[in-house]
Amino acid sequence: MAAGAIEPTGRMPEFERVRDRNLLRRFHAGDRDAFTEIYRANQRAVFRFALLMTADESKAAEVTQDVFVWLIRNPASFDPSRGELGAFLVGVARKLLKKRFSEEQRWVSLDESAPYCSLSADPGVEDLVRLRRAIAALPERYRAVVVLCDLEGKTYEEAAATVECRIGTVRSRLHRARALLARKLVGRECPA
Amino acid sequence: MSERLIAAMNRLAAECADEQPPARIEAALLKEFDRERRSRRKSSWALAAGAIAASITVALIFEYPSFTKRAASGAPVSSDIRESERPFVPIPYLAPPSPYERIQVVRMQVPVAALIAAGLRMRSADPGGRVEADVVVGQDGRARAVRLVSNFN
Repeated sequence: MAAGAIEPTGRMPEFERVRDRNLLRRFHAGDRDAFTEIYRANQRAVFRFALLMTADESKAAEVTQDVFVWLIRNPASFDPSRGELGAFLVGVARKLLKKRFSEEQRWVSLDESAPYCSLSADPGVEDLVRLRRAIAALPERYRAVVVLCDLEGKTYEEAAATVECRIGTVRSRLHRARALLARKLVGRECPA
Repeated sequence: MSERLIAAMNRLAAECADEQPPARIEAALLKEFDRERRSRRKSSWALAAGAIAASITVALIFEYPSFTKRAASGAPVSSDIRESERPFVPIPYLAPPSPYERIQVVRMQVPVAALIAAGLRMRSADPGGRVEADVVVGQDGRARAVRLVSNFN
């Protein structure tokens, strides 16, 4: 992880995989408590991803709800042998967000037209607002890798699995995304 | 990547670490889960009922191939067919028609094997042959009784 934002999470330990499989089996059988456990274990990751992608809490909450409603209606869609449930659900969130973005594309927020300016050395609340806005304004393919690798601490491999592309593609997208962010947020004078 | 950008990314990641969706979402999802489970139960019952009905139909088609053809075309025996002296023999293990049930009598070539399979005793019959018979068909389209018209070949 080049940005060094947070440490990579690494692979899921075996006992957690077994626990996940048991939970899924119970969920398939219609066990309400198993669903609650699945939701509680994965809600944060899904919500955080959606929040960083949209920079909007209410949209993030809606997407989180949509992801788990989708899981309820398609309980057999996840194959535990192909990866982790958490990563799978973040992938579902990404697809739902993509659909949303394409529907919302014709509406351009007035905020987008506001000028960006350089981040301060000791980032404050305003810097974070600017950063969130800049990330949310990135094209979706760049935004997803920045959120996953630089903010969620996923490895390139994990990010590649979530966005369904090659590791090399993740690297190049990340490089391009960081360059776009730097162009907006570094070396620009803030308007008085 | 710029130091400032890294610092801001780190700060943003740390700030987001504790973010979680509103509690109302869990309640809404559990409601949705219950609704989905109820509708699954209903559909699985409907599926089972459909499967039973289909298996009965398939059994009828295999056991009485010529019967199903004739019954489907709805061609009842014409009134000019002379009534046989022989009585109708009820098909074993089937409930007889109820007193006010509308029935039809259909004349057809029935495979002897189908009659044997239905539980009728056939004396000196060639199991590979066919025999002409009047078949009583209930409102549900199932054969209830048979009366042989011709002798066995």
